[in-house]
Amino acid sequence: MMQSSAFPLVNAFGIEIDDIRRGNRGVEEVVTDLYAKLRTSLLSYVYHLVGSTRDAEDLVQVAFLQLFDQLKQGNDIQNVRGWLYRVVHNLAIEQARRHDRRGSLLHKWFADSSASATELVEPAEEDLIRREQIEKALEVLNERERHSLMLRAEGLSYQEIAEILEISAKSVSVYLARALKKFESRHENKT
Amino acid sequence: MKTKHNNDGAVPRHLEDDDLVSYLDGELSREEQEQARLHLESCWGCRSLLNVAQSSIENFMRLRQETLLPGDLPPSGPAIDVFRRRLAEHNASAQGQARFSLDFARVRLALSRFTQSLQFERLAFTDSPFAIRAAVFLFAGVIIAALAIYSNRVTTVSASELLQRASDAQAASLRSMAEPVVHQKLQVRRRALRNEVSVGWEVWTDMKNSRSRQFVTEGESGAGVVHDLAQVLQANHMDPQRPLSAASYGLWRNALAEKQEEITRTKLLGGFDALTLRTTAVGSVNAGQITEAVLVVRVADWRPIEQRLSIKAEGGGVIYELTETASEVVSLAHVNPSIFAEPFASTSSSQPETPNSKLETRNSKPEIVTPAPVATAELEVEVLRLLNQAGADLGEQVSAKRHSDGLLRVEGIVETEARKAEILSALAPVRNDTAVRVDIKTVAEALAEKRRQGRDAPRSATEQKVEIESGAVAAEAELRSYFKSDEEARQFAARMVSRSQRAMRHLYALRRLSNQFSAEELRALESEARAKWLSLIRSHARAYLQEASGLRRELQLIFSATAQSTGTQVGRAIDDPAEVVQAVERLFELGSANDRVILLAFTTSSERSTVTAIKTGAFWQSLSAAEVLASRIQSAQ
Repeated sequence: MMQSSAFPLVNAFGIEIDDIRRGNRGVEEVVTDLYAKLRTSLLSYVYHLVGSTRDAEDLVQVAFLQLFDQLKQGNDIQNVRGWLYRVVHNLAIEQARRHDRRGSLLHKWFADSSASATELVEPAEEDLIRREQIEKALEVLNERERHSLMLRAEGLSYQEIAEILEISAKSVSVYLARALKKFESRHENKT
Repeated sequence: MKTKHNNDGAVPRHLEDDDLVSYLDGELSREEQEQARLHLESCWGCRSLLNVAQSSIENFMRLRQETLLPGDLPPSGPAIDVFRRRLAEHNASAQGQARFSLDFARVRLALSRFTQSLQFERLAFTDSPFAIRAAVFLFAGVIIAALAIYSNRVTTVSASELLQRASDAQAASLRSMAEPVVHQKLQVRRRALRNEVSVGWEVWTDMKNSRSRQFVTEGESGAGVVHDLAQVLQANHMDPQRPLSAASYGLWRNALAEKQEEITRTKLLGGFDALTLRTTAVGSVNAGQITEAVLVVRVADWRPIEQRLSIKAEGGGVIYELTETASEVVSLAHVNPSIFAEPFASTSSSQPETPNSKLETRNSKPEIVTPAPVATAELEVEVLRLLNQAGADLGEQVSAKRHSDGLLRVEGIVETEARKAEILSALAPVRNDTAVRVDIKTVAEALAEKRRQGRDAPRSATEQKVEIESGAVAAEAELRSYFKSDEEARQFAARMVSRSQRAMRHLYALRRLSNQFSAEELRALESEARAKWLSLIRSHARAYLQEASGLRRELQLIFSATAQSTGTQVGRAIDDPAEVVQAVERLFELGSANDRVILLAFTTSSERSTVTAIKTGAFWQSLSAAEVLASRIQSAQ
C-alpha cells in the first residue's frame, strides 16, 4: 500500500518489510539491517532533543526493539522511517520532561537565566561545546519550529512531521518558514 | 495556499513565506505548485524571497553538518553489535512467553467471558437442555481457538514477564542515582455502591533507607480513603510504601493460590501503547480481599501508570483506582529534608533504626501524615497580589509556590534590608497563616549562606546598567543620520535597550503568573481568586503594552524607511483562562524575539554586521503583533 504524498522517500524501506512478509528474511535480520541503515540519522535527531549521545543511543535502540515487537506480531507498518521517528521523538520528549522536572526548582529561582538547565544534566564537555554552536543559532526558535526544522533536515515529509508533532501539515510549513526566517536573521548577524 | 487571484483572473498574487518553503519542498498540490511556478517566473520579488529561503536552508544545513557530523557520533560498528545482542535477548524473552500465553487460565477466562457475553451468567447455565449446552460448548471452542490465535498475535508478553520488565525498568531508573527517592503523585478514586471519593496522594519513598512518607494533597476525607487503601494493600500482601508498582502488584499476585490472567493491548491518551494486565482471583475470597486487579503499564518505558483493585466488601464491592499523575526519581540530597523528618518526635525515639528495621518498616502500617495546614490556590493568588502591590513581581527573585508538603513558600533574594522589610510588611496579612512560609533574604544574607555551604554566589537579579560605548553599534548608520551628535545617539540607544528590558520584565512576570497554576487548578479556582489572577495578568499586559508601543514609536523615527505604518488592530477578546495562558506564551516568544533584535541593533558587538534584523519588515510585523496580542490579554475577561 502506497501512501499518497509528494515526498518520494516515504516508502523507502517498504522493501525490507516486504521481505519479512514473503518470508525471504527473518524479522531479526531485517530489523538489524534497518538499524544499521537508519541509526545515524535517528541518532542525530534524538541527540538534539536529549543532549547526550549515550541517552540518544539507548533511545534509538529501544525504538528498534519496539519495531521488532510490532513486526514480530505481524503488524503492518506502512512507513517504517516515519514510525521510528515518531517513536524516538516521543521517547526523547518523555525523557527530557523527566530531566526538566528534576531541575524545576532551580529553574524557578533563575527563571531569567538559561545556565541552570545545563548544570543538572551534565553532558560531556566536548558535547556541550559542539552543541553550543548550533544551539546559539537556534535559540530564537520555539520548540515546534525547532522540531519541524530538525525533522525536515532529516528528510521527512510534511505529513510525516505533522504526524510526529501531532499538528497539521499546513502548520508544519508555517513553522518551517518561521524557523528559517528566525535562523537566517540570527545567521546574518553573525557573519 | 493563500494566493489570491486578481479580478481579471490573471497571474496569482505574491506567495506567503510558508508557500515558498512548501514550493521548494515540493509539498504543494500539483495545481498550486504550477500556479506558484508561473507566478515566480513573472515576479522578481517572490523569486528573490524564494532564493533567500533556499539560501537559509543551505546555511542551516551547513551549520548542522559542521556541528553534528555523523562522524562525530559514536561509530556504528560497536553499536550494531550491542544492538544485535540486545535484540537477541529481547527476542528470547519474547518467545518464552509466546508459548506461555496459551495456558489453561487463558482458555478458562475466555470461556467465562464468552458465557458472560451471552448473558448466561443470569440463567442457570447448568440447568439448560443438553443440546444447547453442547452447541454452546462447540461454539465456545471455535471462539476460544480464534481468541487464542488472535491474542497470541496481539500480545507477546506474559503476566510474569510484564511485571518483571516493569520492575526491571524501575530498578534501572533507580540505579542511575546514588540515593534514589521515588516521588509519585497519585490520584486515588474509591468507588463504592453509591458514593465515589477522589483524593490526591503523594508518596515519597526513600529506597536506600526504605522509609516512605505519604501526603494527602487534595480532597475532603482524603486521609480516610488513603488510610482504608493502606489497610487493603496490607491485607493483600501489597506494599503500602509503593502502592502503584509492579513489585507491589507481584506480591499480591504471587500470594494467590489460583488465578486467571489476561493481557490486552490498549492505547493511552497521547497515543502511547500500553499493556493491561488483569488478574482475577479464583476460588472463595474473604471480605477485604482483592477479587480482581488490573495493572496498566506503558509499553514505551514499562512504567505502571494505573492500578485498579476490586475489593470484596459487605454489601457490594469497593473499587480503588490509582492513577499516576506525575512521577520522578530524585536524589535524596535534593529532597526537602522536612519530607522525611519524623512527624512525631516521641515515636521516632521509640523506634531506633536497626539493620533489621528494613523488614519491619516494610510490613508496618505506613504513617499517613495529613499536615494540618494546606495552602489553597486561592491563598496563592492572594500572596501573588500582595507581592504585586509591593512591586516585588518584577525582576526580583521573589517567588510564591505551593509545595508538595502543602505549604505555600514565599522565597526570594532582594537587594537591601529596607527592601526586605518592605516586602515583609506587604505580606503581613498572610504571614500568620500557618500554611504560609516566608523566607526573604537580602543578597548579603544569601551570599553568606552560600559561602557557608561552599557554593557559588547567587546571581543578583537587579537591572543591569546599560552602557553603550561609543564604539560601533549595529544600527550606527541610521543613528548617525538622525542624531546631530554621537552623544545623543548613544543616549538614544541606551534608552531603547533599557526600555526593552523594562518591557521584558513585565513579560517575565506575565509568564510566571500564567505558569503558576496548571490548567486544572485554574479551572477549579474560585471566581474571586480567578478574577484577582486575571487582573494581575492584565496589569502586566498593560504595562508591557505601554513600554512596547512607546518603544515602537521612538524606533519608527529612526527607521522610518522600513517601519510599516501599522494600524492598531483589535483582536478578538480572550475569555478563557487556558487561552490566556496560550496568549501569554505566544506573547513571551514574540516579545523575547523583539528584545533580542533590539539588543543586537543597539549594543556594540565585536562582529560587525552589515544587515540587522531591525530593518526587516518581519521585525516591524512582530512588534505590532506583540502589541495586538498584549492588548488582547489586557482586555481578557
